[in-house]
Amino acid sequence: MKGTVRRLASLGSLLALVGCEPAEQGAMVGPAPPSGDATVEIYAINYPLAWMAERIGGDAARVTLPVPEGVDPAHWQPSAETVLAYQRADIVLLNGAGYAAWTEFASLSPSRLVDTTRGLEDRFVSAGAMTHSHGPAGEHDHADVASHTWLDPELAAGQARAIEGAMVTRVPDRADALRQRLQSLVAELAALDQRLALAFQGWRGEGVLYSHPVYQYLDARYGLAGRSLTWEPGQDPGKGEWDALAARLAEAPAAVMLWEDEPLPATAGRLRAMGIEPVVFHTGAGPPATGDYLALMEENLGRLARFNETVGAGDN
Amino acid sequence: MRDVVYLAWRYLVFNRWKTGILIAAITVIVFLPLALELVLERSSERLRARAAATPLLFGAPGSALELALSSLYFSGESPAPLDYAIVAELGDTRLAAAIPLHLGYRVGSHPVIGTSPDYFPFRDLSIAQGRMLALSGEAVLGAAAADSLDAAPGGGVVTAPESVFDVTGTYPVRLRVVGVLEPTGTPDDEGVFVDIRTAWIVGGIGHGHEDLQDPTASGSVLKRDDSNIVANAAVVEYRDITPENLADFHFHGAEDEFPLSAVIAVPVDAKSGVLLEGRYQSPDSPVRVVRPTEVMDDLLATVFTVRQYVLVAVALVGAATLATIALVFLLSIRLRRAEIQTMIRIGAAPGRVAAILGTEILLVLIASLLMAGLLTGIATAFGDEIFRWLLQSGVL
Amino acid sequence: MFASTIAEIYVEDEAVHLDVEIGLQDLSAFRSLLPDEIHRRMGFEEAPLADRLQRFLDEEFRVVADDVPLPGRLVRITPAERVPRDEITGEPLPSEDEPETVVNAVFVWPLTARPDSLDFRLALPAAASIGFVVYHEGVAVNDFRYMAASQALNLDWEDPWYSAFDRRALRRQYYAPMAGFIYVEPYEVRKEIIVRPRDMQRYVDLGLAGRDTIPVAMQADIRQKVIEFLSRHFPMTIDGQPAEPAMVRADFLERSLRTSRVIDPPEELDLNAAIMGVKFIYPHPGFPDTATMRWDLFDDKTRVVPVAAVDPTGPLPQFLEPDFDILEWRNFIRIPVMPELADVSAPPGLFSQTLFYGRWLLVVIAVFLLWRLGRAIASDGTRVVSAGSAAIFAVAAAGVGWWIGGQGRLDQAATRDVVAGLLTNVYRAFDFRAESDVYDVLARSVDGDLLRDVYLEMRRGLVLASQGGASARVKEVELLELDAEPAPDRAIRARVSWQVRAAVGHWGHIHERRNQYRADLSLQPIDGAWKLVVVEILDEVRL
Repeated sequence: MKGTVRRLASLGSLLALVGCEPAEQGAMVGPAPPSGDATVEIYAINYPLAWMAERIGGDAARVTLPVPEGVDPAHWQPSAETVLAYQRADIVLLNGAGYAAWTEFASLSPSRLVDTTRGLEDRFVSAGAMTHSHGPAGEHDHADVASHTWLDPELAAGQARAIEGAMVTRVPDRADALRQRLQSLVAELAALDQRLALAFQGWRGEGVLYSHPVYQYLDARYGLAGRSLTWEPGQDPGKGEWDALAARLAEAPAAVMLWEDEPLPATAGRLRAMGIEPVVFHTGAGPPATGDYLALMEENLGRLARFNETVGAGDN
Repeated sequence: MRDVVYLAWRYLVFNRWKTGILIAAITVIVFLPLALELVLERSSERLRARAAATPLLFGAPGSALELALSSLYFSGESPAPLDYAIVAELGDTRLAAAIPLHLGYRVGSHPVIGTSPDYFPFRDLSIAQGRMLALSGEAVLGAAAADSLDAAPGGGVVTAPESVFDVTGTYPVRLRVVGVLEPTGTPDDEGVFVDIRTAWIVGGIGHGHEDLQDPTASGSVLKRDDSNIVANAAVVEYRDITPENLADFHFHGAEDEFPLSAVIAVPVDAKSGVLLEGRYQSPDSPVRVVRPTEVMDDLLATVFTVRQYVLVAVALVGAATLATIALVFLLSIRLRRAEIQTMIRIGAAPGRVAAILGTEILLVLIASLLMAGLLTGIATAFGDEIFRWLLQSGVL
Repeated sequence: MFASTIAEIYVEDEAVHLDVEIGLQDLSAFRSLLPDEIHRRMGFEEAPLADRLQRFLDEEFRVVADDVPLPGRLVRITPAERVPRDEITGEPLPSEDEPETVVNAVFVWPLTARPDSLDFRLALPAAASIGFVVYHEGVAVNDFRYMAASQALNLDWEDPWYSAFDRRALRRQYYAPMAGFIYVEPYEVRKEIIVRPRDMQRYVDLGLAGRDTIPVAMQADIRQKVIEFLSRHFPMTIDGQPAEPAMVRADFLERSLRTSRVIDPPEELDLNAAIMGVKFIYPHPGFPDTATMRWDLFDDKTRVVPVAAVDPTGPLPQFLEPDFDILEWRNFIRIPVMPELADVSAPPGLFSQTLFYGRWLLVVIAVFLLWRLGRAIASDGTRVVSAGSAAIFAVAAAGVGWWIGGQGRLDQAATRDVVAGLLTNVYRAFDFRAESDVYDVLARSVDGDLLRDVYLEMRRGLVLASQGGASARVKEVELLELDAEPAPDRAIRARVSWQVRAAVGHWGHIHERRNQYRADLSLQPIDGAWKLVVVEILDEVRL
């Protein structure tokens, strides 16, 4: 009897809420159903993902990276209109590993999001960043994971597979072509991996520094055992930072420092005076001025080769 | 014949109060069961329609009725929470799209519904003013909520505190209104829609505060080591989420464990829906699957059972009323004995007298039926609005 | 077996206890225990009870510990009601029959030290059939067997599981601490391993050190740890390829001579007697050619492991040991084992259904035209040809229409075939494992809400099976009775009773199960095929 009364009470309040419109029909959600002729609309949150999506998707995909030129995608905050554009995409490619914090606070459909490093968490590397918690027993935040995962070509291949998997569910009729392009891309990434491994051979013993904590995956992949500073290419580090560097070098010397971009000439000169060669290694987070991701890596390899020659010549 | 009708008509008009009361009584007896049927049929149709448009609901183990009522109509107790991980789990099945729902908070009397952008096309909701949700801290209001809260794009609304007397509870959060939906005549009109993460911020899982690494924040620091800073209770959390301070917001804990009230699963096709249900049949499963149509049918079956009793009661009352009316007629005839005698004396045949009396009854019945018919017609056309007004105004 | 006298012997730290239920037929064998008056009335020699009791303990029923007879005493002896027992397992059973009167006697032989062996020696003055079970610290040492003149029991106080009689005939059926089985069925291969948690504690810390029981609170964790440990052992191959299980499940079992069952709801278990069963399920497309399991867990306590490979034709038991450690199954089956779907005839088309009634009109027309022909012949004969042609055509049309219309509605025999086929195919769907296959096969025979209901019921059943319950495979569906009538929308309503014969296989057993059902069914032609749309079960009986 009580249950019946309660149900009636529930019904009474419900009746107030129903209206006189015709019966609703639940609409399809998520991206449009797969179709052989459809083009998949893909939005990415950084250049490597956009590049991989273009390489794999070919004419089956229309890829957009709305990050303005010169802006670091990791710290970019899109406008509401841009977020709405992301909402309309069939697939939104996320990097995972905490990359691009804006995605945490944007309204995006879970059914369209593809975390390209999902399932690869055991390969994540610590960022060595400061965390905070509330109270002695409070939850910690999870800012401790490094996010430039694509710098490890093996991880990048894993991300490429995730992208291909997402595309295949949208355009299953193009599965064969997508798979072929994926295999070709994975082969190229494997070749890049081998060349990087060769280029970084022996670096561990030389002592490696990073201008900014963005090279963790490169470091882990090639065993560089490097140390990160937090210097910006376009700024003088300041006396405190130079003194700290000197102190560090006293404990463990270093021969090379990787930079995301060209440092100031004064900074470069002073580093050389300390016996540290600055070498630019673009991470490729944003789109290059010319060429594609592999071309960018080719340039990076060129600079690494030149450094290696210098060291080899110096040894001789 | 015309004279009979005329005399009967004149008698009824002369005794208009008595005639009016008789017509009203018979009208009520006839109209009441019809109105009841109509109300129940229309209401059950509406309730079923919303349930039928919601293929599957996922929730924590517990009352299926509570889950369905809160998820479809935002009424009743919030169900026990389930983990957000279920959204990815459902996505991985490729059998259905998952639409998360977070319920439990309110702006005034209007429910705050934390969800994803998929909810709006699913419920066929479109923007009347402003735009759709894009960032955390934003809210899109249902048409009725916007009217009631007197809010429009560019304005703001504030969530209600969990408890006036719990000073350690979550504080109200100010939401920026960015859009208002077209009216739909559904419970969505009453809603304050936010992104799921905004709902978590309202619930205190996510928050924003000053950067604890900044020297100016030293008063909020309990202790620090090489890798972690522990904040003390003095740290003040932002209550406004703006594009300027959005970067300072963060969550503590693993997103997969954050709470949801329910998940609407929209299967790709009928087979996918059944396969999906089949995967969650284990009694140990931390998640239960509910078909809203079954829950509603169950609820309405109870209601229709009660309706039988009500109809029986109405029938009994009606029978009693008709008996009373018959008694009134008989008594009236007795009281009109002199009148009847007069009619006979002036030449009316007994049959003619009987015809006049019978015609009086007939005219009353016809008038009652017409009135009942008219009321039924009005109820059919405007019954929903009238009933809703009666409920909302507190009359019922 | 049925024994008139039942003896339960409990060997504990401090004493050996005997609880004997003496049937009236065996009273003369136990005359030494009878009160003087009854002893005299039964015609036996005069001897005081005290003397007779001493004689009983010294000569007739002796307990000898390490060759030294133990002094015993009678605790009590009273009339009692016989406890009905399973004739195979000896386990107590409920019974509503009039209880039999027996004599219940309890003896005790105190122990001053833990003996290495005990010998139970009988020299009763008359023959008696005594069924007995010995429990060593709660662990049944033997199955329910007849007592002989002497039975020597070697005691393992470290682990009573390993206490055993000298005589092999008294060895407990489930004597081995570990056992393994491979089940090969269409679409599924299973590896089932029986282990003792106490033995597993030697390999992985289950937290059982120093404990006597396994509390319910510890059982989930123990199950998980055992799964993790065993997942690294007993590698499987199917058709020569290493196989990885799709599902693994561990449960605590209760094993008897009749059956093995999962202990559910969980209860606190005696550590020495506790048994676990671990199932590894390997879905396989079709039926494999070979399956192997390598046993890689031998030690001093486990030198020989009983195993069996079970397929639809039955079990093939053998033993594995360190030098012969692979259980191999090969497909020597000649009869088809893959579940085949029954052919179900298609529903009659609209045309033939229309002709079912319309054929009468054709007959009437034919008769009329024949009459016209007759008149034409009888008259001037000028229109015989045209009338004759019309009549012939009408008769032919009526004949063809009658035949086609006859197929417009199923008769009882045809309906039986359709219903039997549909029911068979519904049960066949249960043989498949991939959920999409199950659904698709079901959808060939069932439609509407019933399709969902049957599928979910099947999934719930699978959950039960994966939780340790038995996996049943339907072997045969036999229709017993059918009473059908037409229904609106070209449907058929029928009250049907049928029997299902299924084989249930688990933990080394295969059981046959036969169920009988009675139900009201409704079938409808949908998309050119008969489909069940309503099934209301009226009665279900397990035969």
